[in-house]
Amino acid sequence: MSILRTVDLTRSFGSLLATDSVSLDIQAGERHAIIGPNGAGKSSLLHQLGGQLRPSSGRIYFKDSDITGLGPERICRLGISRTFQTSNLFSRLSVLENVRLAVLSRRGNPLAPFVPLARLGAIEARSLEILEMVGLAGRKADPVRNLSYGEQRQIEIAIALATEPELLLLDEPTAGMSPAETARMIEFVARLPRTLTVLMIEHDMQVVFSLADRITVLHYGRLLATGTPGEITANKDVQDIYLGSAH
Amino acid sequence: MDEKAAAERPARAIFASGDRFARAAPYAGLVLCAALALVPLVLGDYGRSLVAEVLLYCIFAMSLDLLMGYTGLMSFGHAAFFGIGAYTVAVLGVQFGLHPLLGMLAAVVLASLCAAVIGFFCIRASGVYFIMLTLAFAQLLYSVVIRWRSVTNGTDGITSPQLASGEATYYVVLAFFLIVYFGLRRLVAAPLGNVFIGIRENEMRMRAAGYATARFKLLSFVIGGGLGAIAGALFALHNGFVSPGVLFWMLSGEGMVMVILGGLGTLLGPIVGASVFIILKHLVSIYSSHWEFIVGATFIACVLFFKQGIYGWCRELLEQKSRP
Repeated sequence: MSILRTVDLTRSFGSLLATDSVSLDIQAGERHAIIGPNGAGKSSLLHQLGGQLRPSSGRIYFKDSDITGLGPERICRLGISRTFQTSNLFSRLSVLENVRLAVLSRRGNPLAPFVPLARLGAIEARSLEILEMVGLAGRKADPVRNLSYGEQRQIEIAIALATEPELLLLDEPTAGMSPAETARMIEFVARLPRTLTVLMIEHDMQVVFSLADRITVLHYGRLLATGTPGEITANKDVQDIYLGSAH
Repeated sequence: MDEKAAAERPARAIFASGDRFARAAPYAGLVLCAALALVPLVLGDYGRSLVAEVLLYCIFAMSLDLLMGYTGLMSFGHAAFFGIGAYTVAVLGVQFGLHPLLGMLAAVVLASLCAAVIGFFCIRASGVYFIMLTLAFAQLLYSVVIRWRSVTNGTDGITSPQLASGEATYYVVLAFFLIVYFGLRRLVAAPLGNVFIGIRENEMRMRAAGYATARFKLLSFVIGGGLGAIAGALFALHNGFVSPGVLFWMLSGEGMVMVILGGLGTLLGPIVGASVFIILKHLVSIYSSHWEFIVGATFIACVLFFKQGIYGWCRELLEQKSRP
C-alpha cells in the first residue's frame, strides 16, 4: 500500500528547477532513502513534503488525500513529521520542555490556560518515555543548547516522534556526526517499528545501504532512478553521476 | 548526591531557580502583599496615589510582557489598548453615567475585540514590519480620538467617573494587580503559556510540530490587549481625567522600556521596571524637568550592563550567592 505519492512535483526558483517533475511512490512501512549529489534538490523536495515550501506544480498525496500546498502544521496533524538538517530546536528550553511541547501538540489541550503543564502527568510521562527511547532521559533538565551536536540530532528525532507520525521525514539525520554517533543513529532508526514509514535524505552511503529498502536518486532536480540498493548500485546512470563519467 | 538533586529539580532551563531563592520567594511575596495592603493606612494621599499609579503601570507592563517576553511579539502599539481602556471608562461614564467598574468590563471587551482586529493584520507581518504595523494602528486610534471631538472632546480630554474615595480606588487597583499577576503566572506555566514560549523560541519548529502558530499569536495579542485595557481603565479611575496622551506612541515606548528595564519574559521584571520607571519619573521631575534624560540614561545603563534586566540581574546575583 502506498502511503505517500507525488505526481509530477515541480518547484522552480526563477529559472532554476529545484524539483523537476518528480513522481515518487513510498510504500507504508518502507525505509526509503533519497540520495543525490549536492544541489540535486533533495532538501527542496523534503521541504515540499513537510509543507515548508509550496510546490510550483504537481500534487502530493498522503494516504490518498491531496496535501499539496498545506501548511506544516496541517501536514503534521495528518501524520507526517520531519527533522531538520541543521538542528532546529528550542535551544534555550530544557530537553524535557522541547519534547513536551511536541507531546502536548498531539495528546494535550494546548489552549488550557490555568493548569500548570508540569502537573499534567500523562504528558510528562509520555515525554519521559520518548526521552528514554532516544537515551536522553538523564539530561532532561539541561538546556538543549548545552547538548552535543549528536545529542541535539537525537532531540530532533524525539520531537518528530513525539507528534506520533505515520511517516517520518529525516533530513540528513547523521550530518556532522562522529562515526560512533552515526552507528548509534543507524541502530536507532533500524529499531523503529515497521508501522512507521521512514523517508530520509542522506549523504552517508553507509547509512543509506544499512537502512534503506529502496533508494531514489535525484540529479539536478530530476528523478534518475528508484530501486532496491542492489538495483541502484548496478544502475549505469547512477554510477556515472557518482563515479564521474570515467568510462 | 548533587547530581541526584540536580536531576530532581524541576526542569526550568531558562530560569533554573537557586533553591534559597525559590524557597524565599513566597515569603517575600506575602510580605510585599501585606505592605501593599497597608499602604493607605501608612502613607499619605500622595504616597498612596503614587503606589496606585505604579501598580496600574505594572499591569500595563505585565500585559505587554505577555506579548514581548513570552510570545516574542514586539508590539510598539500597546498604548492603543491602554487608551481604549481609559477612554471607554471615561466616555461611557460621561455619556451614559455608567459606573466605572462596569465601564471597565466594557473596556476589556472592546479592547479585546480591537486587539483581535489589529492582531489579525499585524501577526501576518514579523520583525520590524510587525513593530511598525502595531505602531501605525495605535497612532490611527490616537488620531481618531483627537478628531472625534463630539465624544472624546479632542485634545482637551474628558473627565472620568471615579470611585467614592482614593482608598477605594487604591484597593481596586491593588486587587486587579494581584489578579493579573497571579493569572498571568498561571497562564505562562500552563499549556497555553508554554505554546507562547515555544513560538517565541522557534516558530518554524512549532508549526512543524503541528501548532497553528498564527492563531496562538492572535490569542496572545487579544489577551495582552484585554489586560492592557484593565490598566488603562484603572488609570481613568485613578486619574479622573483622560486625554489623548494615553493613546500616544510615547506610552507604547514607555511600556517597552518598563518591560526591558526590568527583564523580558519574567512578569516580576516588568513589575520592577514599571516601578523604577514611574518612581524615577516622579522623583526626578521634582528636581528637574529633564526627567526623560535621567530615565533614558538609566535605561541605557541597564541594557548595557544587565542584559536580562534589573530583575534578571538581581536573580543571578542571589543564585550565585546561594551556591555553596
